[in-house]
Amino acid sequence: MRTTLIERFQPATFVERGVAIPFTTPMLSGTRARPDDRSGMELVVPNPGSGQGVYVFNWSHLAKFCQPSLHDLALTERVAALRSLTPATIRRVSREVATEGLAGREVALAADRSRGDDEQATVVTNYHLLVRLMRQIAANDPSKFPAERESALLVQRRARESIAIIAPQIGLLPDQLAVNLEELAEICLRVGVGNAGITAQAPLMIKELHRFRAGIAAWVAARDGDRADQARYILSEADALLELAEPLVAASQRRAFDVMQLLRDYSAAPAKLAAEFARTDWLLDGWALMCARWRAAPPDQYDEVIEELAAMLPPMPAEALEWGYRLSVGIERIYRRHVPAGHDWRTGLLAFQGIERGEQALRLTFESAA
Amino acid sequence: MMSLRHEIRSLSSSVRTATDEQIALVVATIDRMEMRGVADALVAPLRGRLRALAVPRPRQLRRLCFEPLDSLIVDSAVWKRAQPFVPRSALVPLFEIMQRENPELCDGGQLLVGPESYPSGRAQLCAKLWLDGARALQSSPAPANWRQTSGLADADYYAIRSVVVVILEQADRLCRLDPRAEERQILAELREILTAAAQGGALAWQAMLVLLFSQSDFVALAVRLGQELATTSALAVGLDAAFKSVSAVLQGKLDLLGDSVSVAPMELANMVDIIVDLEAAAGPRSERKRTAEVLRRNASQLCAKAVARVVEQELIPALKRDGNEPQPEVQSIAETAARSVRALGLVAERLGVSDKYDARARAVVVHLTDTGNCFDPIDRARLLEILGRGSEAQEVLRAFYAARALIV
Repeated sequence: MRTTLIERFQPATFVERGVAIPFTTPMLSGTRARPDDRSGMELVVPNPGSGQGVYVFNWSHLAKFCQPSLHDLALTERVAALRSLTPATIRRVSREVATEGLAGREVALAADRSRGDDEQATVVTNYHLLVRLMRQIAANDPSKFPAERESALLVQRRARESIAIIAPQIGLLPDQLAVNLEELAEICLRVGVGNAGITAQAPLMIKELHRFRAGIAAWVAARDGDRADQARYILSEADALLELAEPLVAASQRRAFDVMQLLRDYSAAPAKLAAEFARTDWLLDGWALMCARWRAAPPDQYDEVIEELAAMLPPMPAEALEWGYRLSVGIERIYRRHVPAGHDWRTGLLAFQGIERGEQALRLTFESAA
Repeated sequence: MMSLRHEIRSLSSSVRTATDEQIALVVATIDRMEMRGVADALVAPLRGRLRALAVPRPRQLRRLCFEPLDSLIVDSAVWKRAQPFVPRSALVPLFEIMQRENPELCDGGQLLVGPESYPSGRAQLCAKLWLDGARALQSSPAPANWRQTSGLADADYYAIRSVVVVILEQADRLCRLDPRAEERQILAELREILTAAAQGGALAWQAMLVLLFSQSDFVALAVRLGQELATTSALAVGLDAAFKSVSAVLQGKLDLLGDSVSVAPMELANMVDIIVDLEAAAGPRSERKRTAEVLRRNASQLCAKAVARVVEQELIPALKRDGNEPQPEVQSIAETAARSVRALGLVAERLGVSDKYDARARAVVVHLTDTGNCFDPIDRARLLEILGRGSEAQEVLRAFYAARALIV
């Protein structure tokens, strides 16, 4: 009989699974942070030997676990100071830390650019919501439809009129409704509204996942052995994720189409609506970094990267089953890692090069977000 | 007036000390020449560095045919009889035999070197190319023009042929050796390769050992297996000779690196891996042990010299630049230099001489704590981190954050 002493990490909820932290230290690859009643935050680190199970410890003990990079130390401290741990807040903090230059100037530049683009995307989303709202109000009178290319002043006037009409219907003052629209823009930003439905982060991430999937599938086609099995497992997880994420993003985009209803729902229960739209974010959390790792690797390093990715694979919490997630069957996950004999793979030359690879991947995540 | 030979010699000696960029330029120019002639002599002293620099070379069918033998090919002037190497001058006549005996070899091979090169199925095409080449040579006597084209005796043809045939026969297997595979799997593959080599004669056995001893991923296992398979005195002598040959090759490479203006840390790291493994496998054989120790000592000296050069000539001058210089460029230069220093430091650690590296790194720390240069605290902390001075880096960062908090 085979006895397994270390159990596989199988969280019940996404919060329990934690949020992926884009660390650059190879030993911390795939690490997640989750709230802890006592200390505020704990880290969930995949077994560095790529065996089953995870290490769970208070964030303040990070330096005892391994020698983290300066970027990772600063990032951990900022993340620990957060009141709410969500993929969105981690993204913001990660960008702040990267902009300072602790992961190098190239990463800082990419992070800074992505911040500007995000701010612009929020304004655009707000505009699309407003235009959509105006169209909904003027549905019975096509003459009042906002033209495709109207002057900014005319759009502003029409917007004010529309807000004045809809606000009493929802039981809000016009100013409050304008604020709500701005907050809705933040909520809908990731899935995209109107024209941004193609260029928003979630649809772009889906596209990136398809590319990632195709790349690994091509690599694994003529291979066998442990790594090929690990790659096939990654593929099956990516497939299951796409099967769930694609309709979810499409449904969220459809939902954002009815802005009046969205405003009503938001006024009634803002947290509920925010949570509904954040589903894709939680679902796709951690995959951007995995895609970037794959993209940053030269073909002669694919073997090592496949092992890294297999270790980074986020476990799907039971909560996802309620959203329609199907478990992978028939493909067993392999917990194994090959290390070169006689080399210090945790602190030696390999680890040193690993940090550089981690920084490149981090840069790519910001560039994909731009 | 200087004779052509003198001119070439003088040019060769200046090329030897050329920078990486200059070397790439020289090689590209020579590769573009239709008639290379004596210009080939210019490339000769650079061959050791070309691989490390990954200078792109034009794809030629002949180069591809002898690719598996790459680390055994030596300059004809240094080639000696009864040694497991192949003189460069032998390649042309050998290739002519392969072409003559096997015309279709060219058709398949041209696919691999044509403009649409590296098509799918490259591995299979290469495997066929090498195997057909080996078969063609196997049955061919010394060609009539052998002496004239290679400058070697007929007897040399048969010795060289025995090496080339065995390596080409095993080339596909050698290519498919996966350093990341399980040890027993690698051992099984190596056993088959070495058994086949042993059947090819004493020189082929030696050559195969040299080839495997030159690969850091397989040297330890190859030594182990070589000892196990050397059941006859001829094979045992061959093993010793292979050990000596590899040591000589490594020493040559160390000399070459010592002469060049820059040392590629990864190339040195690779060589050090081989040296450390050879030393560990030397066992009780004191002669082998002594040879490996000498290599280790020389590698340590080279490493220390390289660290000193990068620190004194690249890193510290970058750190001494004043605040008026554009930061991104200087930071980029400093970061590249710091990475080289750190990589060399890790090589030094593997060689057990990290104290020399530490002394140099301390000198850099002094410059990095000087706030008069053009680097901001974050840049300085990052450079310290790259150099492996984590605690100093954290101190710089803490002071910076504390000062910023006060300002806020």
